[in-house]
Amino acid sequence: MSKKTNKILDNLSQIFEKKNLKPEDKISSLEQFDSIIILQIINMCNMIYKKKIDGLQVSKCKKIIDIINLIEKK
Amino acid sequence: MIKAINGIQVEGISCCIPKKKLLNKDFKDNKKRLRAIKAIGIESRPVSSDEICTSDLVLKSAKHILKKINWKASEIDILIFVSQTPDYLTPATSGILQDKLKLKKTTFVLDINLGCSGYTHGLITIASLMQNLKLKKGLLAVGDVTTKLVNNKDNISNLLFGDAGSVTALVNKGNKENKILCDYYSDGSGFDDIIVNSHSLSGRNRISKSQLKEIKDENKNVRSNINIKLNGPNIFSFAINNVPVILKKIIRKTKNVKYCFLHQANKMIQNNISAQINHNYNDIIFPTSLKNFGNTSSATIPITICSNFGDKKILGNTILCGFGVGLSISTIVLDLSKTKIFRIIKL
Repeated sequence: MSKKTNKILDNLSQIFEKKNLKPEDKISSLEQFDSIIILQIINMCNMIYKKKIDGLQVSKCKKIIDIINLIEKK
Repeated sequence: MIKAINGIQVEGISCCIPKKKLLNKDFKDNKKRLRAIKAIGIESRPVSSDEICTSDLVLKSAKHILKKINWKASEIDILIFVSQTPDYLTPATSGILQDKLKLKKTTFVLDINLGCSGYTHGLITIASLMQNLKLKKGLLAVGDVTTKLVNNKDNISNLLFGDAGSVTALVNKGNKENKILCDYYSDGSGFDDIIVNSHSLSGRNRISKSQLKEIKDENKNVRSNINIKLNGPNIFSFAINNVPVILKKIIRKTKNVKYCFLHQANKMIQNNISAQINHNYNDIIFPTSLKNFGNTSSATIPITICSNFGDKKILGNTILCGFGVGLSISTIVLDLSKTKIFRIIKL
């Protein structure tokens, strides 16, 4: 994994409050996932990576890697 | 495009909240709610009892300010009431307030249906009318009892809203000083991002038993069509992508800005917008009131002003910015240094 991918993964671990979050983790298996998490992801993307993503894009993600790709490809 | 309204001065601002208070810590019944409370930054909220309507909060606030600034009811030329929770679908609540305040029959009264951007949209409307119709004294009444629209099984909305009413007194000085700058933005394609789907026999979804049926969504929030429904991520994206652009535009046209009072939606939106502005203009202060009042819809800006500056003065140019339902944004720059700001009273 690249440095940037690792950094995004760290950010997502803090948001999901889950240590050892892995890219292949299924979002549906994370009990915390809700609209507040989506807001936090949009916020993180905007504040740290200066990128705009919308809630619908995040809610369509199935795995953590999908969120990472969403942020990296923007 | 930025517009100017001349000659209108804000004489005073008063606010009234219900005595009853809800503590969000009492809702920490699961991990999700605990995390939500931390993220939105709201600890307690004033909440109306069943018998208190928006006009009751506004009426008490109006009587308070008229007494404090020594204005007679017979001097009021215009009263505008802004709310998304009026007392009735019809008639307009402004007429009820006119009667209860014993304003003269020639007072121009008007209701505006708006929430989060209601205070700034309302100020633009009343100041423009006062300038153009040469009206001397006016009252802008704003308020909402949004907690009545929230389903208590809606996990997030049930932590977010507070109830409040506020009255702002304006006077037409008829001069070229007291300039109010304003700008505004609307995007009706987001109409259903903050919506109460069914409200009466005449609306889009005629009220019936089926509209009252409670449904659980994918996030286990329960609500019916008579409850308020928020699309948090869409509102959030709208706010952080558009509000800073509009704010920067008006800041560039203004000197000596000390304070910016934002609509108090939630802590994440506040922090994001203030960080984007302070990146370029790091000396602007963003007072807040979220922690103890929550999101009081149209009243958040006056609640923030009165809770931070009650019996004090606000020097320099001040920016006010409302955003939300519609979707809509409006922003104003004005001088509040001569404005009497009163401590919040309770009903």
